[in-house]
Amino acid sequence: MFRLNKRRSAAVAMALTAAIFPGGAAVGLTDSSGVYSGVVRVLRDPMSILSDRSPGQRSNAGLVQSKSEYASAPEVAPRERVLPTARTRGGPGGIADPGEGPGISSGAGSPVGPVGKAGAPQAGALPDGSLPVPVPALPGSGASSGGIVPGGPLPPPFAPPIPSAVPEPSAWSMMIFGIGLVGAALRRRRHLPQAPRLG
Amino acid sequence: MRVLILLLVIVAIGGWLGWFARQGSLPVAMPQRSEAGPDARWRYPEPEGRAMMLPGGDREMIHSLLNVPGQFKFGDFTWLADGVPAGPVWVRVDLERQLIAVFRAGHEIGSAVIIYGASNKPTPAGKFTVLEKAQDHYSRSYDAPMPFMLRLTADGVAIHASNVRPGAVTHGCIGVPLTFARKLFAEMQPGSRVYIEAGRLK
Repeated sequence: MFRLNKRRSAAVAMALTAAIFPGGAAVGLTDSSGVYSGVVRVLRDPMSILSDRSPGQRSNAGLVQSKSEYASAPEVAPRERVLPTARTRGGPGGIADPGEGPGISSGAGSPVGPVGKAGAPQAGALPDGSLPVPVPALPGSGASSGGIVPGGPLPPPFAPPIPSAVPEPSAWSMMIFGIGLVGAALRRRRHLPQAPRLG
Repeated sequence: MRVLILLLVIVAIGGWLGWFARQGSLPVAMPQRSEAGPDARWRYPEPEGRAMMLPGGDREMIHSLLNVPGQFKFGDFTWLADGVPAGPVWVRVDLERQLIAVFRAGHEIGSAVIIYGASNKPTPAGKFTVLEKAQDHYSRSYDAPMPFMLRLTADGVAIHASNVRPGAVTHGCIGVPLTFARKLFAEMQPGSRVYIEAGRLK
């Protein structure tokens, strides 16, 4: 293996160049305001050109009406949603607030579910913590006014779970390349004279 | 060991191609860049150009786009119609990017940042035509002037000059800077097409 040292280091240098140079050159090539100098030029997609000049999407913060008369219009008071069945629930861990359906509070709070809360689980939560379509409260969970009407309250709006971050393909390849470098370095160390083991 | 090096090179090339895939296109033969001053154009290969899908199922062939250096700020616009032949004029409004782009004979001649309708008075998306145009229109419904108005719908959606600034919303109209509105007013005629693309704001 030592005979191939020069070839191997040249190959490693090639791999490094292949990884680093296109990334750097591509940044220069796609710069629309620079002067083209490379052999390969990129034909830009119209949407990417428009996205580059765009100030971005409008944020929902601090919006004002452009017409002054419209801006001075009276603000409409928010309407509360009245559930058809008012309920009270007592007992440990139960919701004392009347009129609050199962899963509404946890839906607004955490998307994962009420697992892990100390004490009794929230009424209507499945053992694995996922939020079900609202089911009536557990029978006998507290002083309920005449039990649960099968009709039940309106289902709460479904809160989609927050997706976990997935690395980009280019980030993946960089990571694999780095791990490969570490592996190559470890292999190289094996051929060096080792320090005497402590007995 | 050689196999490992080869594998690493393949992964590196794959990452490089993936970087270009994110940009939206792979490196292909070159576009020409005209040296017509700072507002050069991105030209697509002749004679057919590049297709652009538009609302309503329409498809237009784009021959060039304006090369805007950097990002627009609110109130900015660009207009370059020199050397562009006469032809059908149409407009593409992009609500997600807050942009308006004017095309004549497949070449982009102008672009600006827009303001559009609030969420309770949204700007509709789709294909529209200019119903009428009025230079000094005054809105009775909203008690406000609408200079260089290009009416798009019967219920009050129009393109007109407005004070384009961050955070401003309209009652459904598309607001553009005053100078850009004047130039657009001169180009558009009743019957000209306006495409409004909502993108991710649907």
